[in-house]
Amino acid sequence: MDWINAIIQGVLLGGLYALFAAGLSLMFGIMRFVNLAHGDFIVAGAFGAMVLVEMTGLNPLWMLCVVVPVMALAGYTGQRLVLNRVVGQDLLPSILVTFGFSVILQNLMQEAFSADSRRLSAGALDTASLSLGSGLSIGAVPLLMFVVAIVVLGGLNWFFAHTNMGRLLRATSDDPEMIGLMGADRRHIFGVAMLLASAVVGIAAVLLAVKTNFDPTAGPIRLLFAFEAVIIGGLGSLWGTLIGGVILGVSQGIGAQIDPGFQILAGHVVFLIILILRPQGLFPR
Amino acid sequence: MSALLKVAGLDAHYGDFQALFSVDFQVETGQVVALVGANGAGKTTFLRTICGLVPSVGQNIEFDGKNIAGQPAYQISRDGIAMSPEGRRLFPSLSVQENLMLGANVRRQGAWNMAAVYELFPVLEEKRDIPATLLSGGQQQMVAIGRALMANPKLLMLDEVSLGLAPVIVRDIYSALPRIMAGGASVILVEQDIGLAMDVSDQLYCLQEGRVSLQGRSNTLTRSDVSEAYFGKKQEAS
Repeated sequence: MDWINAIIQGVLLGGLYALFAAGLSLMFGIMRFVNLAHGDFIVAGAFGAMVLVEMTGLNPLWMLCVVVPVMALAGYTGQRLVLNRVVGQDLLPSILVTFGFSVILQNLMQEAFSADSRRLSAGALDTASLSLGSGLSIGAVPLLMFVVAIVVLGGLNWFFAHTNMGRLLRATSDDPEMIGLMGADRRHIFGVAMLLASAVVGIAAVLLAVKTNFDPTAGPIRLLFAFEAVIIGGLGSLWGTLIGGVILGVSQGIGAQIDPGFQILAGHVVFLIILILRPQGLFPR
Repeated sequence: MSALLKVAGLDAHYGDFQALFSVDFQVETGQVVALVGANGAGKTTFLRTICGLVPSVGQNIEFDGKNIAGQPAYQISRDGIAMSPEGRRLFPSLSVQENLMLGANVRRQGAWNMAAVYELFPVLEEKRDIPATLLSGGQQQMVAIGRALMANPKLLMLDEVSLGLAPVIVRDIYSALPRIMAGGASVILVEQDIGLAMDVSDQLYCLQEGRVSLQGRSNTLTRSDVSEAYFGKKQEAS
């Protein structure tokens, strides 16, 4: 029963990893742009939610209403003002700039919030659970994360398939030069891609803050999980990203069941095995 | 007739390499202008410069009474220049219909819409939900032309539409030209087949190593004029 429980918890945790990964996948898929500060953006969003909770005293989940639009707007603005200058054929400039962002953000957060580990309480939701019988139960927060992940990924897929902007984003991923001939300003399209990615980061940030402890240096490990989920799932496939997140979560769950010290290691090992056996990922586009 | 496009002394560069040297070029409203020349003569560069994909800041490209040199491609396409590019450049992750829909993203009004394009190339309607790059070469070319028409352009530029296609398919595609003209577009076409280019065009320009080596009314030029200008035997015509 413990094993089944470990697998179920792993699947649900995979939802959170998929949310971490979706933003990264969008940025790379549409702009061929690697954001090394992705994890730090998530942690910054979590601290943003924390400040808002301290100011208002409301349940952290309400902070989605503020954190998501603020992150989205900041993403668009940042893309137009800074990142559009470094996207292009060469990956290196974007890696350097976002690495710089990562260092700056981590230090700013340490300065502002100290290195203490934090966590937000979602009140009664923290301990609420759904019993599946025979000793199995699912926590409300992990279940919520998983449902949110499915809704977000499904929503993004719908957006890409059925809206004009969605088509423009897919076309940009195929051939960014040609979309100029379609009357579309690439700088704006890139901004919208970053806006979407940042909105997902905002959602992931609030859920992270509720689910687990975070501190100013927690970003890089989130970035690592996100990369692993994207690569396991296959670049460019959002549902593949969910599968990647689930595989990572389940591996960690099983690893932890063997020995708590194996939790993170087991995820990395499974990632490496998949990378060796199927370097293009499970669901490449 | 008035000049729709008037290019004077156009140079173009790729880095240190100069691809076009002082090109003068004109398209009157309602005309088909053919552009011929050997590989590497600068034909594609010329079209890419007109539509803003190759920089032309500070130069002189007058379109519809306004200098568009140095404008970004998205602005030029909204002003009414559309291109079916060399190699077609369809979006592989979009279906035939979605590729056509993106052509309409410039939001220009006119004779062309989805129904009109499907009437022009009926085979595309049957294949509307298939990823565009899975079609045959000729059908892909139809999508590329249809996508450009969806922009309701005043000037349509067709780059090597017959490249790699069977003669019978080429004839099919060229048979659409009168209806394209009837929709209100003037046309620049780049074509390897000189005979075909002379047949369908009003004016003909020949480029050689980035310079205009011949220019004239298609029905007054002879095949040998064009061949000489094409291959660069000492001949300066005007």
